[in-house]
Amino acid sequence: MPAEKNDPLDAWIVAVAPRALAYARSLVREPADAEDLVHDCFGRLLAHSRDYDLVRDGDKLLFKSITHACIDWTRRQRPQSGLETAEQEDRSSERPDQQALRNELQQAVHHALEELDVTDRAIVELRSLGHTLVEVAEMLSLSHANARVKLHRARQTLAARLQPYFDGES
Amino acid sequence: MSHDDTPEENTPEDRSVNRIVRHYLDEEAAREPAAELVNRLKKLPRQAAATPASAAELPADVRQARRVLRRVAWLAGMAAALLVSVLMIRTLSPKPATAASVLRDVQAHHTSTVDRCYQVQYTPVNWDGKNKLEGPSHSVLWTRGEQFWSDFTVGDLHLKLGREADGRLWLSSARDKGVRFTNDDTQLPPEVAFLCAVNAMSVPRLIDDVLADFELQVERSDLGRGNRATVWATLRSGRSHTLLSDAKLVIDTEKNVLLALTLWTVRDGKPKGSATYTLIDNAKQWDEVYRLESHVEEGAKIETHTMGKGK
Repeated sequence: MPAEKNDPLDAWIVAVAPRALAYARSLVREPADAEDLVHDCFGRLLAHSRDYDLVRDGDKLLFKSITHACIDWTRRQRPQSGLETAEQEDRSSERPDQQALRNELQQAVHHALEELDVTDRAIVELRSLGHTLVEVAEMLSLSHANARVKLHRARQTLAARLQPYFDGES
Repeated sequence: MSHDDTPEENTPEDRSVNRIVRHYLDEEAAREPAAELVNRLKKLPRQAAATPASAAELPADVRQARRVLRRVAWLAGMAAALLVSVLMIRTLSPKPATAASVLRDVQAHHTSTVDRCYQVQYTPVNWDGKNKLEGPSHSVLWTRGEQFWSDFTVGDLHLKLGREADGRLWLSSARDKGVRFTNDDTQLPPEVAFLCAVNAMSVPRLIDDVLADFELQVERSDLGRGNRATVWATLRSGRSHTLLSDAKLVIDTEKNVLLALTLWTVRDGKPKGSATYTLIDNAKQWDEVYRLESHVEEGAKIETHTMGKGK
């Protein structure tokens, strides 16, 4: 698109927004709220777009901002039992046709991630998105050692749930 | 971002998890295109497109002027952020009066003859499997004020259930038969009363209950998605309710429509399950659709039951 070619910030938005939204959705599990949070985080960054080089550093700044916003949002929600959370929240926010479109693996990963604490989920997902563990630890204000332990435990949990889907992997 | 596989991915299992999670996020990103969000993001106010790197190429006096302007902008930004913080704190703090007024508007709207269709999911807690009518169920529920009809499945049972304009409830398990109950809801057999309560939410009645016995807290979210409010309702200390301990109502405050609802149900004070309702349609329905006769074939056997509670 010509506008994106002319404006590097527009091009950056187009490139990063879908991933950022998917990440926020996975953390908060409420699509509409995730979109609000992502919109808000972009708004704060773009309001200071002259103070940062968003094309170069924007991904890290954005994902750090989204991580904090989503964790804060999640902690404001009332605690629910695992069964309630796993079985109802995702369904309440999805239309039947959307659910049907999810394939089995997507469903399995969706539910496996849901079993993790939101911070552990953020660590695993940020790492899978290509952020180094040092960056992830910094984003979450954790020590490198603590982040490493959390990442290891979260992956063990996921591996136990997703083992059947590892065929053909690794 | 760099994507080094070491030392955090020490095992093939770690790498598999990493790849599967990445694949999941990529699929999620592709599944629902973010075009609408991207368009809104592009319109967000931003500072000039120049980056700090290009600023170094400017003359010294321009850089000095920019520094002053940036400081002024920073102070203005801080003042704006403070204002936003105050507003956010106000909107997130408990405001029973506001929550009540939001609910009354919804109640008035849902009392009218407007048809709403919800997808309903019920998930029991600690279900022992003995009474399958209390097991996991899903249904499609049409409501119009106090009238409703529900097409629901619980276990291997497929049933239709409704309340007609005169308040009578009906139930049908096949096209050739149906039963109409002359009792009011409190006199129904427990199983039927439970099915009605869970699968046939009446918004006006629910809001009456919530306003009477529940603490309310409202959260508003106006961030680019129109006006939406989430109302949390928690049973007040010292109060009891035959069915509910908590409820979460997501409301379109412009149209006064209940978009989604979660009910946490109890029996004898213990958690029993949760039911979620998601608005999926609002097309005008034929008046007769709420009557039993619309759901059975012509000549079907229709019985009328009048039963005491617990019989």
